[in-house]
Amino acid sequence: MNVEVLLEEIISFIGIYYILTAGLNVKAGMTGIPDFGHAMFFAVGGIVVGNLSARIAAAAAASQLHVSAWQAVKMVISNNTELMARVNEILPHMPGVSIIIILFSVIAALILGGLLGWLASYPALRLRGDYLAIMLLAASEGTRIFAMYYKPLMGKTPTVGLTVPNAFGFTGNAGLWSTIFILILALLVYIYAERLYHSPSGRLFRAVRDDEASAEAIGKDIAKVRRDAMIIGSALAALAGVAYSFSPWIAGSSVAAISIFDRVLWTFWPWALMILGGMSSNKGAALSSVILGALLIGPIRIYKNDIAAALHVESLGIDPGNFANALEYILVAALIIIVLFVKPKGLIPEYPSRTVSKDEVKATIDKIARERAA
Amino acid sequence: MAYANQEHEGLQTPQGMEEVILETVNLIKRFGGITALNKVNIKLRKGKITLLIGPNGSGKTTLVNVISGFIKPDGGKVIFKGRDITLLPPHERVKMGLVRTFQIPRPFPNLTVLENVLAAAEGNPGENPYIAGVYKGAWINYERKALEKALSILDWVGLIAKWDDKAGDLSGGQLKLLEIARAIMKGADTIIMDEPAAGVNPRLVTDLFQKIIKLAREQHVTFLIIEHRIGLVAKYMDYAYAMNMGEVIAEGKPDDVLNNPLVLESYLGG
Ligand SMILES: Nc1ncnc2c1ncn2[C@@H]1O[C@H](COP(=O)(O)OP(=O)(O)O)[C@@H](O)[C@H]1O
Ligand SMILES: [Mg+2]
Repeated sequence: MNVEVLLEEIISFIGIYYILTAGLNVKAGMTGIPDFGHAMFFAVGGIVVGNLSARIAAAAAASQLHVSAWQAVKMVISNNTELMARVNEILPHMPGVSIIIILFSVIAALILGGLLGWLASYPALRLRGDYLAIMLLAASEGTRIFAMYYKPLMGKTPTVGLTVPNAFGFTGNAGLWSTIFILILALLVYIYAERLYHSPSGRLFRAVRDDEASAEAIGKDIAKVRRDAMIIGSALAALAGVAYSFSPWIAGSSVAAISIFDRVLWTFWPWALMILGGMSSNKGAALSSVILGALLIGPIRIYKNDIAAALHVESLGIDPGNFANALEYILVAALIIIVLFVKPKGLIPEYPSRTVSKDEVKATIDKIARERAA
Repeated sequence: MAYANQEHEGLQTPQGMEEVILETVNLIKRFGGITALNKVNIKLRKGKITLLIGPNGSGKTTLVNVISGFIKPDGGKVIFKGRDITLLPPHERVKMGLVRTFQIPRPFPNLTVLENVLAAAEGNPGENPYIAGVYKGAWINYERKALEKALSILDWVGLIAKWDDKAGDLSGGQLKLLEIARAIMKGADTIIMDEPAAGVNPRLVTDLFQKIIKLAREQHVTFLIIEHRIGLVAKYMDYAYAMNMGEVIAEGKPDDVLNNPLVLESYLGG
C-alpha cells in the first residue's frame, strides 16, 4: 500500500472522528444529554456538500456545459451522476469557485447543524435519560429513512446518493490537500473545544450534567444550557460530515443517506471513542481518536486477513473473511473493556475547568491569607 | 472582604416592624391524600433571621420547595419583594435574590469545591458558550473578581484547603458548608436554609450561626432557617414559626415558640 495514501487516510480518519467525538462530548460528556442520534447531525454535513454545494458547482460550470445555471442546478437532483461527472471535470479549473464551495460548506454545515440541534433540543428539554436517548435514536433513524426516499434531498437512488463536488481537484493533489483541510479543521475544533471546556461555559455544562436541580437553585436556566450544548455539539457533528464528504475516503465519489446516517459509524463509534478517552474529557476524545485512527486504518486494516489466518478461525467454523471484517469491532470492544478495567474513567479522565491557572488561584489564596492576617 | 472577619459581636435582636420581603398567602400543597401544606402564611422581614421548626413530615421542606419554585402549590401565593412569584421558575427567583439550600446537600460532585462556588456567580459573561470558546477577553476580568470572592467565601466557611478537591469527596458536614458558600456567592439577599446544621459538627454549627447572624446584621441578608438543633444561638433569632401536619401551629419570639406546649406536644406526638 502506498504510504502517502495510508497516512492521508489515517490523518483524515483521526480528524473526522475527533471533530465528531468532540461534538458528542459537548452534548453527552459535558452536559449529560445522551444523544444516540448523533449521526443525524453528521449527515447534515454530507447533505450540505452533496446537495447544496454541488448546486453552486453546477451553476458555476453551467456555461461550459451549455445549459443555463438554473437548469444545471435542477439537474443536480434529476440527473446527478452524469451532471456531476462533467462538473467535476470542470471544477478543478475553477480554484476560486472551489474555495468558495469549501468555505460555504463549512459555514452552512455549522449553521444548519446548529439549527437541527436547536430543534432537537426541544424534546431534550422535556425528556431525560433513557427516554431521551431512545427518542434521539428514533429521530435519527426516521430522518435517515426520510432522506433515503425524499428525492430532492439525497437524489433518486438511495444506495447511490449524490456525487460530491471535487472541490480539492484544483490543488493537483486532492488527497493531500483535503487531508490538510481536515487537519486544520480538527486543530481549530480542538482549540475551540479546549477553550470552551476551560471557560465558565464549560463549567456550567458540567454543572448541569452533575445536578440539574442544584444548578436551578443557583439561578441557571437549565433549558438554555441544554439547548446551547445541543446546538454546539450538533454543529460540530455537521462539520465532521463536511470533513468526511471532502475526505480522501470519498474523493469525489458520492454520499448516500445509507452511509452518512450510519448509526454504527457516526453514533456508536464516537460514543465508543468518548468513553475510551474519558467522558467529558476533550483531551481524551482527541487521544482516543488518534489511537483508534492509527490502529484501525493502519495495522488492523492491513493485517486483518493475516490475523484471521493466523488464528485459524475457520477451524471454529467462522469464515476468515467475515472474521477479518469484524476484527475492528472485536478489537475496539476488547480495547474499551481493557481500558475501562484499568482506568474506569477513561484514558484521560475529566479534568477541572481551569478558567484561571492553578498558580493564579494559589497566589490569590495567599493574598487572602495575608489580608486576613493584617 | 466582609467574610474575612470571624469575630463574634454581642448582638441585639431589635423588634422593629421592618419591611416584609417575602410572604406566603394561604399556601396549599397536597401529595395524593396527604396535605403537606394547609393554608400556610408566613412573613420574612428584611435583614431578620426567621426560624422554622416542626417534627419530621410537618411540611417544612415542602414549604421551601414551594417558595423556591421547585414545586408548584395547589393554592395560595408567594409574594417576594412585592411581586407575585408563585408561577416563576426557580432560576428567575434566584435572579431576584432568593436562594435556597437543600436539606440533603446537592453539590456538583464531579466539579471541584472552587468550581462549585464559582458556578454560582451571577451574570458571568463567560457563560455564553458562543463567545467563551472564542474570546477569553470577554470574561476573564469578571472571572478574576469572582475568583477572589469565591476564595474569600471558602476561607470564611473553612473549606479553603479543599478548593481543588472534587465536591463528591467531601464529608456530609463539609457539603453543608459548601451549600452555604454557594448561596453566599450568589449574592442573594434572601436565603432559605433547609436544616443547615444537620450532620455538621457542633463546634462548626455555632460558628456557622454566628456567621449567619453577622450576614443578617451587617449586610441585611434575610434568612429563613429550618433547624431543630438551634441550641445556644436561639436568642439571636428574630422570629420563629412552628409547623405540624402542614399547618402553622405557633409563631412569635423563638424562646416562646420553642417552649409553647402545643409545639412540645407536636414533637412528642410526632
Ligand atoms: N414529592 C413528594 N411526594 C409525595 N409526598 C411527599 C413529597 N414530598 C413530601 N411529601 C410528604 O409531605 C409531607 C411533608 O413532608 P416534608 O415537607 O418533607 O416534611 P419536613 O421537611 O417537615 O420533614 C410528608 O408526609 C411527606 O411524606
Ligand atoms: Mg425536611
